[in-house]
Amino acid sequence: MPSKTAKKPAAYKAPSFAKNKEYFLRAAKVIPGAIYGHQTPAITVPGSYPYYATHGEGCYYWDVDGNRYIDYMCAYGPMVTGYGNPIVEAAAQKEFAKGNCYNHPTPLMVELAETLVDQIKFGDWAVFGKNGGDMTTWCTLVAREATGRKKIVMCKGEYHGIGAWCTPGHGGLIEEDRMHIHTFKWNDLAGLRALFDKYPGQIAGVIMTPFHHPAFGDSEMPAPGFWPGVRKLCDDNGAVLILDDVRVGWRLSLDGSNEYFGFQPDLACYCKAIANGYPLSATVGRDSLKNAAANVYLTGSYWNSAAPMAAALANIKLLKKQNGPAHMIKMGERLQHGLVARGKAFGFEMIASGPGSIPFVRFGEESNFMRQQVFCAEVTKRGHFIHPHHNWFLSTCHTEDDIDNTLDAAEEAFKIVKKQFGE
Amino acid sequence: MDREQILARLNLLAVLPVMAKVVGFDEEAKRLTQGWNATIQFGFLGGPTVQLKFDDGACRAYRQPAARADLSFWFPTAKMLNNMFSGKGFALPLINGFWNIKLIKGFTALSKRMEHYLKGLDNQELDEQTALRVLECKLAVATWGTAVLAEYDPHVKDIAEHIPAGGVANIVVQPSGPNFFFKKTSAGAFLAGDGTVKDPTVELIFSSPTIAFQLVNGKLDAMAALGTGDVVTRGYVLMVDDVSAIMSKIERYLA
Repeated sequence: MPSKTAKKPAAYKAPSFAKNKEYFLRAAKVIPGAIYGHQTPAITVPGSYPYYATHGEGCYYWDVDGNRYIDYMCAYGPMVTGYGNPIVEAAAQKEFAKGNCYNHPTPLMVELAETLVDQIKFGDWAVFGKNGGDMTTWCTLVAREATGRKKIVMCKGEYHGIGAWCTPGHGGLIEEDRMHIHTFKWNDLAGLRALFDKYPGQIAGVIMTPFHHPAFGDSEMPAPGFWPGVRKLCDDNGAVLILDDVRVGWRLSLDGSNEYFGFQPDLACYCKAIANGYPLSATVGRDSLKNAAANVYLTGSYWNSAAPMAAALANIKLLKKQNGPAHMIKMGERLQHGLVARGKAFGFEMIASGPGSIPFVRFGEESNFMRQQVFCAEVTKRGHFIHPHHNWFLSTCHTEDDIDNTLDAAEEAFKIVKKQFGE
Repeated sequence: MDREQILARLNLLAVLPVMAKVVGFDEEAKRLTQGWNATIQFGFLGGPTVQLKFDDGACRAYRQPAARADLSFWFPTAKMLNNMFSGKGFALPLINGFWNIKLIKGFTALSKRMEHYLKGLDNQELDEQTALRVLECKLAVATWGTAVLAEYDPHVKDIAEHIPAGGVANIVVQPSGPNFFFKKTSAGAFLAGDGTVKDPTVELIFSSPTIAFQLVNGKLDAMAALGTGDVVTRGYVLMVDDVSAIMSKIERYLA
């Protein structure tokens, strides 16, 4: 678990991003937006962040200019047991060498489904895709198939993928895309109840993340009674409760985040932490929805390929052996507490939110993120990749030394923020 | 609200006020309005009333009536007003002050000067000063027009709702403007204006007029420009995403 390359940072020297920019300019000519989606530089601090990576090891990765980073985004979640983890890699490479993608699934698919059904207590069956959005969108169709209803309810500001029904983007949408999508505020049971009252017998499913982790905002944990309340409202109204555990899954509990929060959904989607970077997503569901699930078409060119499933089996075993969630929570809490304490020493009130394994820390008393952007840019330029607006991720490779080195870099960044903005 | 109603509001609230800018920097427009001391107003049934107040070679636009009008163009329908703005010809509106035929003729010539900056110079090589003037006019229409669509266009309702109440976006062109701001008030209304506001929610900074020019002409890959540093955002950048998405719809009305 300890990182092999952990060491104290050298004196600060501003990194060069020359090659990063060179590739970006080339990309801008042949790729719309150059880098699109959540990895676009537009939502970090362009000029202070790397654009292109070359390789990784443990919790570290390197950009095309040779700058090394302790990674607190973990590829935005998929890296969970370390870049290039030898156990996971060996399992995947064995399947690549044999062929990987065939006319049929391999027995690994059966083995993985059995593993997930054993692991996720409420689950009686499993299916697989490639991205989280494959699964969340499919789950909404299963809910409609099972209930014969049209409407889907979600929380405001939650991300469930790039389907027209849920994308946070604006381009290419028509009003009809959201005609049957309704929202309520996180932790607002009365708001959810009002939707059920307004659309009696019309709501097919409610899809939510285990806790609220919006971009550009603090993470919010479920209030006492919230999840049982949601469960009851779904039961009382015959709606399917879908847990989008794509981002959080297995960073709180290997039994699924619902166990951590003490409730049982009808369907749950997983993705990021399954296969340590290999493309794989999964849905686990109750027996009562199995026939409906069978009626909703589900496929993709590479969806049954073997290597990611082999990687997942190895990764899950490793996470269990390492007691992964507990380690990630512990390391993340060290980071959160450290940033709050060091910020306080400079007169800043830092707000830490979210569980340690998926933390977010920002400057209190500002809503426009300007200090946050300068701070995160300075920390990142010192070789510790943190995002100014998106929750962070820990892996089982992060060590106390890594965290402490990052806190030292943060101290330098706090000095710069204080000089630029005052307290 | 239907398309004609929205377009009429764009014409009145976002396009017509550009006249004041044109009179401010265009010698021909100044010459045309020499000796004018009059208020001309425009409106249509159920819509806003906008006034242009001329004062001997200077002009100010008012988005609400500020004085008694010397000449009033009032159209029974939004479509009739839009036809006038698009040069398609129009049925004679109710013109109060029709006796002021000289003013009507002069205003027609003045309108052509505004059109010259908004459309007449497209696809032409421009000297630096003219390019800046065209940029100022087009960026004004874009920013003011964004406020109009955010307020009235049901097709962008969801995006407009996503903008935080009290949010202010400064649109800055380096090194020396033109600059504009866009605001959603705490009550949820939308407005825009010249210059910048202190302590904005977000700043959208163009590194040069050339880059801003590409934006207003629809030729800028904004995401790529952010990566190259040609465009810089600071602050709550989601608001830029929302404002840009609304701004991009203006062309569908005014093209």
